[in-house]
Amino acid sequence: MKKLFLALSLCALWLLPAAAADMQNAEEMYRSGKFAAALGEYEDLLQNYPNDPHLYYNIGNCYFKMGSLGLAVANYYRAFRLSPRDKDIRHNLSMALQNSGERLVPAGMPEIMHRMFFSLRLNELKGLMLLGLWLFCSLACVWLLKRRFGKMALSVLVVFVLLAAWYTWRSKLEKAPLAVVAAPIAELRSGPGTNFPASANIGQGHLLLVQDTKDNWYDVVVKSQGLQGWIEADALEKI
Amino acid sequence: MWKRILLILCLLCPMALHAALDLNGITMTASVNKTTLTMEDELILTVTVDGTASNISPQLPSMPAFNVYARSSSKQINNFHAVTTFEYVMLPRFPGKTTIGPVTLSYGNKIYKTDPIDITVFRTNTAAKQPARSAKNATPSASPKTAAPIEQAPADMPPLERDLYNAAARNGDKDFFMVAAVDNNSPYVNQTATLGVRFYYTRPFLDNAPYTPPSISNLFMEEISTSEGRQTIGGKAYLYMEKRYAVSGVTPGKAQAGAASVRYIPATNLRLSMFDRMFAAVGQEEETVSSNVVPLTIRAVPEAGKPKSFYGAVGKGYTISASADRTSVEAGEAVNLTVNVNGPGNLKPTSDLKLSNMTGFKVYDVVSNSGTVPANGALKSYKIFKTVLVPVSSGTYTIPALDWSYFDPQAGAYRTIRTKPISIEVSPSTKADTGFDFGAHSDLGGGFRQLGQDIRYLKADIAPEQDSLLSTLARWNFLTYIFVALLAVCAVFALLDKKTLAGKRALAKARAQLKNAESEEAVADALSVYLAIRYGVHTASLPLRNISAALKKRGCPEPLVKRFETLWQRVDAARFAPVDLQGEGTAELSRQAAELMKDMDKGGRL
Repeated sequence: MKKLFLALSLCALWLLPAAAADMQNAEEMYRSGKFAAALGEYEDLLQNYPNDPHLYYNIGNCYFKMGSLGLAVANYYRAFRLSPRDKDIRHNLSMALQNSGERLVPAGMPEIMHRMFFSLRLNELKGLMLLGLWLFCSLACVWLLKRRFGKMALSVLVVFVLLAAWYTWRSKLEKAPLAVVAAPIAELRSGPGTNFPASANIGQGHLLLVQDTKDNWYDVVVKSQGLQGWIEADALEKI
Repeated sequence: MWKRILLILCLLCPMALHAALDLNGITMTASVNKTTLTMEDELILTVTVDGTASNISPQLPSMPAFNVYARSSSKQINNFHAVTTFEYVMLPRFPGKTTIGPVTLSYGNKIYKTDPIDITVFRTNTAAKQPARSAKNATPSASPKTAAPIEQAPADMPPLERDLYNAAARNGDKDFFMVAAVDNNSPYVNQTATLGVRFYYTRPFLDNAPYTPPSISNLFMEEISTSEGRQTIGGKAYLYMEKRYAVSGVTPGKAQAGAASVRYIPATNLRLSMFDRMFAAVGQEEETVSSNVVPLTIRAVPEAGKPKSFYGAVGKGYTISASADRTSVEAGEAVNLTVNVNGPGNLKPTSDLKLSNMTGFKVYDVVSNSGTVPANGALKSYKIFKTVLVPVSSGTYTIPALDWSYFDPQAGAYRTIRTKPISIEVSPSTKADTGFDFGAHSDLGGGFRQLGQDIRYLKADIAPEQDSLLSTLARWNFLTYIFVALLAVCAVFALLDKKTLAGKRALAKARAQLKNAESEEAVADALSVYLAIRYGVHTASLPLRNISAALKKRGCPEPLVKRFETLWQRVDAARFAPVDLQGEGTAELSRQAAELMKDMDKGGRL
């Protein structure tokens, strides 16, 4: 066990400087306008760091500069899920969505509330919720055995319920099968095939909720417009 | 002296010459270039005055049968002999035999007259070639009015020409007059009729004669043509200028083409310079002639059988065509559709084409443009409809045939014409749907001006490990099971027996002590232990009333507190009384204590 831990630590020590060099190299390409080359570097790095929000953010930047608004939105969104408190990620995602006619903060919701809602990552929120649960259980036991701390137990229960609701909502949002239009224009059809008439054209960058899949077609709901229909999978990028 | 005489002679010579020229008086003769002529010929009257070099002006007689439209004069002097010649160019006004009266000249207190000249005017060249017979049979025309019969137009003449001809014939006694007529007095709404207005004149007039077109009521009117012509009315030759208009009714009911008019200045017998002809001679009186009013009755098109594609056109011979500026586009790109309708009549008041059944296209509003073009004395109209069609998705779409109906007044029925369908190939769009202006700028105030907006820069490093305490707690999910299990156990304890663990433990411990109690002291200790564990009330060194108050505060019922007080006093009495006063004994106190604790465990609250 100790040997395995040592081997992993050595690997990490070896990988970190290499990653830093690759990041610097990619940044140089980006600065010189070679966005496609920088994108390749970042995607290679993503193989080793599959859940790194900074890599998704940088990939999103490359796509944005290359004019692929849909893919930029998809990668910004991935980065946002991993690191919702990051101001740069929020800014770029918000701007990319604005470009495509969408918005990060739902209409009518104050931005401060949206920021608070996404102030914790999902696992942090889960930890907080569990902490509340544990505290409640402890106090409830004391109350049952000693008939003491009853009010405190009740308050903790209320907090726990709120945390559970928050976590459930966040979890539902983050686990929702979202997709974004990656093609310049995606045609929304009434059925999974080109023989069905198209009812709308959707510009790239629009967020869609995938409800069903049939062959190479997705049954989607355009959240911002309330439209529903089928879009070819090739035109979408699942988040 | 000689010089003076010579000077006087020089002055007297012209006077003597003039006197010599007039010495024998003057003679005046009048002649014409022809005595028989047709209505189309010119007659030149020459008046020669022989014998005077003075400025003279012979007076022409009244010549109602002729129009004098040119005059000239010339003078020749040979060997003290002066001859002045006057020439008058005339046009005959009526056929028949007439006489040019004596030309008079007043000179030197004498009046000179020429001989009358008989003139015969024939209607045609054929007649003019037989002067003898014609002259012999000709009757001198005493008055043109009585000599000119009212003629009727030939039956095969087109209706409008015939009406104008006949209307003009009724005005043949005037030198200037106007007539107006329409070829159809009861057209349908939007059906075109032709209105003709003619200005007849038989005498010259100055060129600057303003024309006022007819006023209209409940009509559209477009000028079609302007022409000139000749017409002989009652033997008089008239020239006329004609204007034609296309008129169409606006709404069913009465309509009217009002009077047109011409203001003119008749030319006198004096010869006018070009300047005078253009800018009107001073001293001439302006006159005005007006045409008759033409009433019309506008009929409504029949409602029976009126198709949906009828937009108001009435006439015959309409054509329609449709074209698209391109037949291969990307989805989202515009296709300009043009529909062109041509035909007779006025299409301006017709309503716009309605496009329907454009499946697959977003259809924008139809914009129309109409106009008229005069052609061959009639009015040709066109109406062009333009719209923009935007295919919403890829595929092959067809712009369907577009129907357009008109009412044929001759047949009394509606006719429908249609365009040909147009096929449009639509490929998927390759353009990005952007709606954001990066160049948008706004004044932020405070000396800052936002020039644009862009994404933020790259992250230079891999994201640091984000293992916060909360994240770590999330991984300890197994603890949840432990806490929940513990809670469940407690709940089971609380629910199954309503006794707390403390109560059970206290009772057990006190019972154990009472079981082994051999003195009142032990009974008191057992009670103290029970109260301490069960209620948390410590009896050590406390007076009884304080213990009772503490028990009541911790929820012990009042009867049990009383029983406790009684028992506690007995125990105290037994503990501290002399041996012979100990009546109840340890066993009895133990029993009573056990019963009290049992009752407390059952009914006493914590």
